[in-house]
Amino acid sequence: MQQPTPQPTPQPTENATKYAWTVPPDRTRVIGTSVPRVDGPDKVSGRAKYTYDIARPGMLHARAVRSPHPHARIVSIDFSAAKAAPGVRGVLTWKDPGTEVMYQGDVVAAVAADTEPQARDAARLVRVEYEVLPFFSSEAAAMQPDAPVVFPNGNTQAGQTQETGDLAAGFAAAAHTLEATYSTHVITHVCLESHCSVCEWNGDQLTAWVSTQGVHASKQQIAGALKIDQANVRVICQYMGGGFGSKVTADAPIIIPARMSKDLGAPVKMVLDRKEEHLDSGNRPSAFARVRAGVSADGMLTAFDGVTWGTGGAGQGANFPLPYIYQFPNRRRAHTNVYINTGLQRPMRAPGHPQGCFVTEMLLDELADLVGLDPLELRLKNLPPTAPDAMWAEYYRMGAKQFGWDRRHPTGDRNPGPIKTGMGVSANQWGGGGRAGAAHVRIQPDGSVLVQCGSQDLGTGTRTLLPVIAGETLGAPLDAIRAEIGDSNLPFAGVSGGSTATPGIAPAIRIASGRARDALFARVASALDAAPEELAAGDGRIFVKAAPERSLAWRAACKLLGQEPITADGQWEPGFSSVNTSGVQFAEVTVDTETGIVKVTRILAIQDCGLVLDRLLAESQVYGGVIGSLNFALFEDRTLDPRTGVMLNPNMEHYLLAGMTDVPQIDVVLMDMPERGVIGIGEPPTVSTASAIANAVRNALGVPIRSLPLHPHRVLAAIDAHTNSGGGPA
Amino acid sequence: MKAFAYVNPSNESDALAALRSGGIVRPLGGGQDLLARLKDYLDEPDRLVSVKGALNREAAATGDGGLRIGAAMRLFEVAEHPEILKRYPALAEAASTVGSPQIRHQGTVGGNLNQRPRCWYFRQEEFVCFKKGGNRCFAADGENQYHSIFGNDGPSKIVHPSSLAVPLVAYGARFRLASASGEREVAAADYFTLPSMQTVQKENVLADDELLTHVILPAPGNVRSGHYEVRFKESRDWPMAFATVVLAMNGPSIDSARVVLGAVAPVPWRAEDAERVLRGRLLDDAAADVAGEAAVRGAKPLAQNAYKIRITRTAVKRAVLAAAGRSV
Amino acid sequence: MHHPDSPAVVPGVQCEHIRHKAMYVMSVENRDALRFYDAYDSASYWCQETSSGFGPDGHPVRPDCCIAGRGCCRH
Repeated sequence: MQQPTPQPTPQPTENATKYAWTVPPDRTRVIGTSVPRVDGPDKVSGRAKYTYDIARPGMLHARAVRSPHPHARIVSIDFSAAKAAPGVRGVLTWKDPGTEVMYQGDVVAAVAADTEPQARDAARLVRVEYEVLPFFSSEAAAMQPDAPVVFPNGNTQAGQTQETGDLAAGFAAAAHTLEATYSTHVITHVCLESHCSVCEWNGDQLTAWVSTQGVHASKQQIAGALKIDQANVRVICQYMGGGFGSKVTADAPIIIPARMSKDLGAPVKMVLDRKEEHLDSGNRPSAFARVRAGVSADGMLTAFDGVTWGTGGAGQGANFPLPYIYQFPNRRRAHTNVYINTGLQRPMRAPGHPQGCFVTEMLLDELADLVGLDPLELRLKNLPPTAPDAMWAEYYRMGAKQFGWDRRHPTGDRNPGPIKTGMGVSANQWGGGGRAGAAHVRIQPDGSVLVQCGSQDLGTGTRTLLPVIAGETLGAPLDAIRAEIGDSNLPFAGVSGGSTATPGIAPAIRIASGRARDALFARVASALDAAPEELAAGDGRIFVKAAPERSLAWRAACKLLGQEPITADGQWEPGFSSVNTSGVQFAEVTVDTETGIVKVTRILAIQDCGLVLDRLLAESQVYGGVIGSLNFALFEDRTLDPRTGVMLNPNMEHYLLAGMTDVPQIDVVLMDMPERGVIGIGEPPTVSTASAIANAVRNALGVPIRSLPLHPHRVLAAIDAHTNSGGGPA
Repeated sequence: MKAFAYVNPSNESDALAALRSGGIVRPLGGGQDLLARLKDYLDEPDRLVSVKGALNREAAATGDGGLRIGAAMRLFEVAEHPEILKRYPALAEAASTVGSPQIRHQGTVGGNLNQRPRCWYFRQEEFVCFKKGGNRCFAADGENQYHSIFGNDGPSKIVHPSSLAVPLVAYGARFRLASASGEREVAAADYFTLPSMQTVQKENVLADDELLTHVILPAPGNVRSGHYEVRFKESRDWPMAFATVVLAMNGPSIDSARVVLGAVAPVPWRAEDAERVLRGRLLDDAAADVAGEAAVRGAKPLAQNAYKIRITRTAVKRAVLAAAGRSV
Repeated sequence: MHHPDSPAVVPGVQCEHIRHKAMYVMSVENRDALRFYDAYDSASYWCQETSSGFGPDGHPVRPDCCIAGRGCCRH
């Protein structure tokens, strides 16, 4: 397979001028307003059918047999009892005897039965004999020099050291140096809808309903795994309950039902339960950073020397960007991937960024105290030069005013009483440039409009973007526009990931709509005694630009098409979207020093995203990102039993997630930059909340905070460690 | 899940008879714990006896000025009941914070008192611990940050999960237990059992063919009570430590005290040292401080839960302050 | 120095069955990111043949080991 991405941005085309987002004197009528999700009522009323809800006639249910051991060799698999169990229709071997399972939850085999409970029960009757092998349940264990060989290519893998500038000179120029170790933990994606699929064959054609971030990507992968033509696979995903990066891979929950469906001649459904989801559907890697850093007397960062490591589970990497955003002219960084026997990492909303952001932002607050500078001042001194995609300085100043940063006390709240308050800040950065999307627009003579695009709605509201863009461009009423997405038989679009979905498809929808509109103008111009290029569309009318009173209502205009609809296609072109966003966030917390409990009271998120297509959807992206990051900071923590390697909290009970009452006031400020076109903001808002919260806790307590999550016992331990080391409030 | 028979009796005697119908039989209340245990293959009964329609759901005054609460009363009803709010406010408060609104509408008083531990080793099938007939407690030298700091000399290091048990012990409640052979009353304080090798698979004295049918609260007398839960998440979470204090008052000073701790021991834990130091004191800030200190005297933390000593002290202190009508 | 976040999978070097998310994400180059941090690889990898993070030989899928010399490697 060719290495397809990333691509350099080509030069804008003629269409970029012709169908530019805003062409004076037109004003936007729909784009940038707050259009509620077109499928919101279907979702809240239960009419929206998720993959989980799909039921096909004669459908069977598959259930995986999974390893209870973190590392073992499969000696034998005996299906006899399972085959004899009620309702069982078939079995499948996923891993052959003689091969190894590498983590708790690794798939060994599967059974299919008439009902889901029967499949569950039968899977437990599959007798797998294991030879238990040595395993690692922590990074530290895998890094021991005398550790057993669990991964034959190395239990750890050191990357190349990266070095820029003159480290010795950088430290020589430092008035203060700091040495500290920072760390973040493993969390899982916890999609509300677990990984699931329904596979059904009709001859050599496979239809797969998949909870996926990419219907076209799933189609290609399924065909590849089954060695069939991609044209013979259709993947459908109308609604999905979250993916966060974990639903790009076509893995066992798709391939098992696809194979069993073929073998058994019946549709097969497979839905992971919450425990399987935690164990074997991806996670965010851990990150550790032993850092030595220098700062000059006037607050200029001079040197950064970091040794980092982390685990992405049984054989996957765990690297992350470091230092993050702020400029250390002299720096060195050496990273080592550590392999342990847990489920494998998968991309998780802004892969690597929350980890690098945490290490850097926590370090910066400590350096600011060494110099005696306000942490915001230190940041302003060390940001990269301002650019349209690097507006942190402006946002920091703006946010400080709006948030009331001048009310922030120096490190350590000196107010009496057990409840301390604090504030923190943090910055984020992301690419968010998409391409390659395609769209089809059809104007029917009755005035109804069909817009099609083979993207999918990860939960971001993608479906609503189709009528927003088409409605703006055609001037058609929004309720006349029907949007179709989530089907690989529709025009191609890439995965909803990397914040690329909207910038990848919006230009295509714009161009297709523009072409359809121009075709409509050509066919109705004579009725308005005008030339096509003299017409404009908006607010449900087609009108003469110079004399708007000469107009046709949308449906009256379409009636003139007779029996021949207008069809138009569009393909992504440069000039409608761009890449790179910047943002900052402010957090305010209270910390109860008698219980260690942190409450987040306020978040301010300032984020740029180029042209805002639908304000409600864009704000919703930021809310979701902030809440996810709050969960990372305070609540979520994958906990393993160190002696057995078994996960102790594969649920939503001891694996904590914020409830409504744990979510603070969140103020979102979207910085409009319509001239830059569309930029995705799925990931950046989730990068920096955790660091802002952690620095706010540090500000409240006056004690070093160097690791997450901020569970009460860890907060109390940080207070104790500081007290025992003789430190008063910093 | 193992297939089971389902019985839905409409009165107490039919329910009690059904409990003796052979095999492993479990009474089903709101099902918030039991059904999850079945789905997780932690319990495999042959028969479920629904008791929601068979047991009493009312709170009624007793002849001596107390209150008699049916075991089928829902938790939200306990939280909202005017007499409970007025006379046993710590009980109402404890009921009001359990789980979530859905759980409080489904869950019953009997179910809350008789639910099994939430220990994360107990709840994972992979760990066959003492409570499941195995030969070890995995929490003893494992991840025990949520486990007991009192009463943990025995084989199991769990904490008792019931929120209602703690105020009920503090208010001196008694439980009516019935079986097809008769009935008995047991003080709430004697109902819950510290684990021994003989009793480790249960958390109380209820026999397999018995039902806890009523909670009987004595007349409260001239008391002030306070309740404080140290909660990380505000909903759908378990308190990390909590306390109920019930203070019999003599003017401004405390005549006698009951201080009971939750989420710190395998049973609701009487903090007798704290009760002793409160006796005869004025109800003030100093009383709260000394009670907190005394309450954690004798705590024996495990490797990872020493922090619970501090939060337990905080819970007692704040419960006393709450009894004095003060917030933190 | 390769681009941040851009996995080093080169046709003809790595096995044709290796996969990572960026192959399916249609993105434009984030060239300016080099101003903000150095190269790193946060990608997770899987094998088209096994639909998992382990190759047909049971060992992890990664660009550094899915190369010529590994028995299951195909070009």
